[in-house]
Amino acid sequence: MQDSAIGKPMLEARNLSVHYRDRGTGPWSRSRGIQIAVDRLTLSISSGETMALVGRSGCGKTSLMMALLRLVKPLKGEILFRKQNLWQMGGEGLSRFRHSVQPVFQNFQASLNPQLKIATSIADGLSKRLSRHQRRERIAELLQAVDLGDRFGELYPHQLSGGQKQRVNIARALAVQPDLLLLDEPFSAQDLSIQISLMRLLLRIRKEQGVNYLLISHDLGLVRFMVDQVAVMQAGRIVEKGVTSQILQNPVTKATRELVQQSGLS
Amino acid sequence: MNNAERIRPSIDRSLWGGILMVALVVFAALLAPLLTSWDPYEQHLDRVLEPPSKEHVLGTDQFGRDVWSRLIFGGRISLQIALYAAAIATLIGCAVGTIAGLAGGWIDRIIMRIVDMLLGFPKLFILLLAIGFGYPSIWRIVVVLGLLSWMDMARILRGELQVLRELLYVKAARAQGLGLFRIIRRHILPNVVGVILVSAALLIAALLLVEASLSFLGVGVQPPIPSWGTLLNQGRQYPVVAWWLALFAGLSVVVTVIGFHLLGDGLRNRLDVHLEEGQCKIQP
Repeated sequence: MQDSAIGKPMLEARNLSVHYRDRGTGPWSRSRGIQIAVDRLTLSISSGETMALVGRSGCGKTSLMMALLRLVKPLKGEILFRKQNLWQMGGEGLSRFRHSVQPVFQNFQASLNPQLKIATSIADGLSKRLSRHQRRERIAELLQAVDLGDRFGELYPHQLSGGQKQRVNIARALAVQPDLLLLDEPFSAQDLSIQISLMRLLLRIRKEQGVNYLLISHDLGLVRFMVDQVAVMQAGRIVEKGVTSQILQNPVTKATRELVQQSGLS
Repeated sequence: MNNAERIRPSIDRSLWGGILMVALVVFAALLAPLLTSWDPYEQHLDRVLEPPSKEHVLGTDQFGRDVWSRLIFGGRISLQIALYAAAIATLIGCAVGTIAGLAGGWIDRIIMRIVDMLLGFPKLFILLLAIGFGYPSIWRIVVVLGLLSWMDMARILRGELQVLRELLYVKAARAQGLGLFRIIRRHILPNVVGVILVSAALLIAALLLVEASLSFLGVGVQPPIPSWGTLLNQGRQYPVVAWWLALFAGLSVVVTVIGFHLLGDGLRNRLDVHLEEGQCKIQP
C-alpha cells in the first residue's frame, strides 16, 4: 500500500440500509413486507486501520459485509470505495475494488467449491497474465503464508480440517494482494487452539503484507488484541465507536456494556 | 463400506442397461443399409402381408415391403426427429433457464410467467394446428416439437441456478472478481451438466412417443416414409392378420423409451454430486 494513502478513507458506508423481503412462511401467506438488516448506517474504514465490528448475532453484521462487498444491493444510502460510489463503478474501477477488498466468510466449508482442488480455488484470483510456472510458485507462496505445505494444493476441501479450510480461505483472499480483508467471524466453529493460531496468522500477515482488517465478531474479548478501533452494532446501527482500549474501559451504551461483560473483560 | 460404494452397483446397472438398449437401437438405425438388403420403399405386390420367414425376418406389409428394413430405416427417422427436437428444446431451455435463473428479479418473473403460460396451452392441439396445415415435412415436425418442448428444461435449470448462485463459493468467486462466464464455467456448469443431460435423455424418450403418436394419428411423418409411428398406423389396420406390423414397431418404441429412461436415471445418480455438509458423496 502507498504510504500517502494512509489515513484516507478507503471504504465508507453512508446512510446505508440493507433489507430482505419477508415472504411469509406458507404458500398462502402474503408477503409481510421487508426486514431491515442494516439501518441508515454510516461507517468508514481508513487505509492503515484495522477495525472490529462487534455485535450480537442477528444485528446485521454479515448483511453489512455483503453490502460492502457489493454482493447485496442496498435499499438506500451509498458505499464509497476511495471516494467513488461502488454501485456506479464498472469495468476497471470495479476490478480495482475486487483486487483491493477481499472477504473471508464465516462458513469456511461452504465458501470452498467441493469439486475443485485447493490450488484451483486459490488460482482463480491470480492474474491471467501469470505463466503456469509463476502461477504454481505463487500458489505455493500463498499456501506457505498461511502455514500450509505445497501438498495441500492437490487436495480437495473435504480432505482438510476446519482450521485448514479457513487457512485456505485466507490464502485465496490474499491471492489478489488486497489492501483490506473483510473477515466475518473467521474464528467461529473452531476450537480455542485453532482460534489462537488463526489470530496469530492474521496478525503476522498484517505485519508482513500490510493488509488491513475489518473484523466482524460477536466476541469482543477475542478481537481486542487485533484491532485499533471497535464499532459496536445493534439492530442494524452503529451505537458506539472508538479506540479499542477506550471502548473496553468506558463502555457508554448498554449494548457495549453487555458485550464487555459477556467477554469477561469487565 | 461407505454409502457411495453401496449405491454404486445399482447405479451402474441402470446406466449400462440404458446405454446398451440405446446403443442397440442407435446402431441398428445408423447401420441400416448394412443390416438389410431390402429397400424399405420397394413394393412387391406378389408378397403382400407375408408372416416372418427366413427371407423377410419380420414379414412384409400390405404393399409387400420388408418390415425389418422399414423398421430400421424408420428408426432413423424417428430417432432423428426426437434427437433434433430435443437438441432444439435443450438449447432454448438452457438459454431461457440461465437468463431467468441468473438474472432474477423482474426478468425472471416475466420469463417464468411466459413459461407458465406456454405450459398451460394444450400441447397436442397446438401440435396438430402447427403441423397439420400443409404437408408435414420432417423438419417442420422437428422445429415445432423443439419449440413446444423447452419449457420444462428452462424451469428445472432456472431452479438449479437460483440455488447455485446463492452458494457461498459462488459469492466468493464474485468477490474475487471472476467474470460471469468464468463463474458459469468453473462453478455452475459442473453442477448443472448432470441435470441438463438427464432432462435431455428423458425429453428424447418423451419426444419419441410424441412422434409415434403423431404419425399414428396420421399427422406426423407421411407414408411412404417409414417411421415407427407410421408402421404402428399401418399395423392398426391388420391387428390380427398381420400382427408383426405393429408388434415390432411398438417394441422398438418401448425398448428405446425404456433405454433413454434408464440412461437418464443412471446419469442422474452417477453425476449427482451430493453436497452433504460441503462434501462430495461421490468423490471427484
